[in-house]
Amino acid sequence: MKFSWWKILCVALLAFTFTAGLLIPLGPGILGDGVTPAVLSSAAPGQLNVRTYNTLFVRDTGRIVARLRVSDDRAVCARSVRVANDNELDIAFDIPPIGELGDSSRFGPGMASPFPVLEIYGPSSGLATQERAVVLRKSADGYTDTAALCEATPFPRGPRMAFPFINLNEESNRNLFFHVPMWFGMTLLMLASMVFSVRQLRVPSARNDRWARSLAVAGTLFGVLGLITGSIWARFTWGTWWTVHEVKLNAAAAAVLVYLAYFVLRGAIEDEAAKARISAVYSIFAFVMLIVLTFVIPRMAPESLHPGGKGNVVFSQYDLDNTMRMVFYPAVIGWTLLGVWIAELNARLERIQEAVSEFPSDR
Amino acid sequence: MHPLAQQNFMQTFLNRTVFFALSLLIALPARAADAPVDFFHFAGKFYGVVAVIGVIFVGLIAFLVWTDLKLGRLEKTVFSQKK
Amino acid sequence: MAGVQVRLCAYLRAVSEMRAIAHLFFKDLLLELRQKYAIGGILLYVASTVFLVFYAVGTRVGQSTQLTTGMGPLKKTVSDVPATASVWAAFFWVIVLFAAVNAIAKSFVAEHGNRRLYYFTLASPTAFVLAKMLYSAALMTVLSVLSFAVYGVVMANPVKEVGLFYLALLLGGIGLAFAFTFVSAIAAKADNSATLMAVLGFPVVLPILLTLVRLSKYALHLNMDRGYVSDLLILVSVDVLLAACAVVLFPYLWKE
Repeated sequence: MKFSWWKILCVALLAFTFTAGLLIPLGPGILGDGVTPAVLSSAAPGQLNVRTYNTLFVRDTGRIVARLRVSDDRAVCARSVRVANDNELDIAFDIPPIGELGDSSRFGPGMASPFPVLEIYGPSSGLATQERAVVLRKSADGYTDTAALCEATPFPRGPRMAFPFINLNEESNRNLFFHVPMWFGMTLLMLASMVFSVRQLRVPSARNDRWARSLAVAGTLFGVLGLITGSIWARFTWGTWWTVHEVKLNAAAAAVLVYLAYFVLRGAIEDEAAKARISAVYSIFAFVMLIVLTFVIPRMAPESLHPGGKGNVVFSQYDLDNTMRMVFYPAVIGWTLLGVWIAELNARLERIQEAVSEFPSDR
Repeated sequence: MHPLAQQNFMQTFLNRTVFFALSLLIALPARAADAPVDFFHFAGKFYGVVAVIGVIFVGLIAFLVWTDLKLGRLEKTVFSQKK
Repeated sequence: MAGVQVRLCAYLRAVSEMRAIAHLFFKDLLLELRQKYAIGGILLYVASTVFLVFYAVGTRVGQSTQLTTGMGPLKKTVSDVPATASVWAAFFWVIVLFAAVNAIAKSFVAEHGNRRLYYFTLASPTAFVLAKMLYSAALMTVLSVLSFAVYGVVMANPVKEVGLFYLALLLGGIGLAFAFTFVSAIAAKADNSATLMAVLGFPVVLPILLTLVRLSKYALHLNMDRGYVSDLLILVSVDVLLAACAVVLFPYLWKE
């Protein structure tokens, strides 16, 4: 076996990705439909029932701080907190008159203000938050009783290493380490395939052609897996396997089709030299189309359901915290190396087949 | 025909790859389709999923290592015969 | 002095390239005009598809039909729901797409064997592919405007922003022409090139078509956002990239 260092690195990185990516727990969070009632009035007492995820409220009993943050530095602090169980709380508020919620302009045009943010902190649980947790009816005269609001001091860091809890995503957050590296890996593998195609056009050789083809095979496999993992993720979060309202999804599917056509083209040409040359031309063209489809169009197109939203192809800095980064970057490298490994095996297999077909017949 | 050529490695390779991909295709959506909304909230099921994914990963790596070893052996045979 | 000579040489070469491009362009035009059945066939295709769409959809856009026949107990009323603008747009782009395939598929298939060798002595591959692409783009512009006219007369014309729609039609037609010209150059190298043309071509034109569909939603006021500038930019950049790819890569297809 050609035991190269990078194959060992690949297995090690992927083993780390699988272990850490699947076993590191999710941080505390408030369930998407876990806050009842949905509307509170200002200048009145209010009672919230909150269901949470991955919290240890029983252990934190008596030390839980709950508040509704209405601006960057001001919050409505809870009058009392009653623990129902580890994942359920009843919070009572005395809500003062509130005329205006925190400024939303700094979140950019078209972005909804995150306030009021429901924040629940316990020393053992850590901090669970939810933006726009309730609709807060403003006071009729727009008057805010600032004195009755408490100061929103930041909480200490949570005690555990955890991935951030994101509503809708929940545990499917971990798909980040499988779905996104597929697209990174596909792009890198196709780039390598394109480089071998360029070399093929400069100096034609069976080796260049083999590698160009094998890398494209691995890249397409990654693309298909990216679509499958994305589709499953979409079913879980958006409630549908496939949607026309997501440009990235459809453009990525088209990119995979472009490369499937590459293999059809290879199958359609008999002469080996012509096949190598023409498919190299198409491969370079296909890579340009891949870039157009996965980088240019999603960047320019207005609508996207993916996190990061407008203008951001993959993720924004807010969606990835350091714990996720710690697993995400090794995952990208590991998956890409796995693709290279598959391509290498494929190329070696083809080399053997070529050699075998040149053997003289026994009969 | 040379005996080595008769084995048709490509066919075996493709068969295995297609089988693997198909079982993934069938297994994964089937799990998600009948999932209630709070599918993952149930810790037992979570570790079940982790175990399935772990088995798939180990199988994948084992398959790659096995193929790599086999190709190494074949390369030795084929390219030493050639000389 | 030497510098001036070099520049003069480059200038003369550029002029001769341009003349070659113009010659090849008019050669294609002449051939098209001589073989009237080719362009006639495409127009017939457009007309029959438009008729089929009209028959299948049953009504013109935004106008419901109500027919009454017979009297007394035999009285019968037929009424239809008017076709929506999105159906109108969907069928329109399908018609334009297939018109493009039909019109451009033959552009390289005809240029084989000895004829190819003959061109090789006349012009550089770059001039050749540029002439082909320009001709295809001109043909597609004419064809798409004609299709719009026929389709608009038969199926009614719900386009609200005519300028935007024509711009999309122009840029999209050019994009389709460039893509199919290049793909037909590749497909011509293989056997069974008609099938291959479709297989290679459709994924390549998908970004153009996706953008065109979005643009037509703006033009039909199905989408009231004002975000069409980025879509137009996508079309322009795809057109430019396709042209650049074709010019850079075609010489490698050409030589043998």
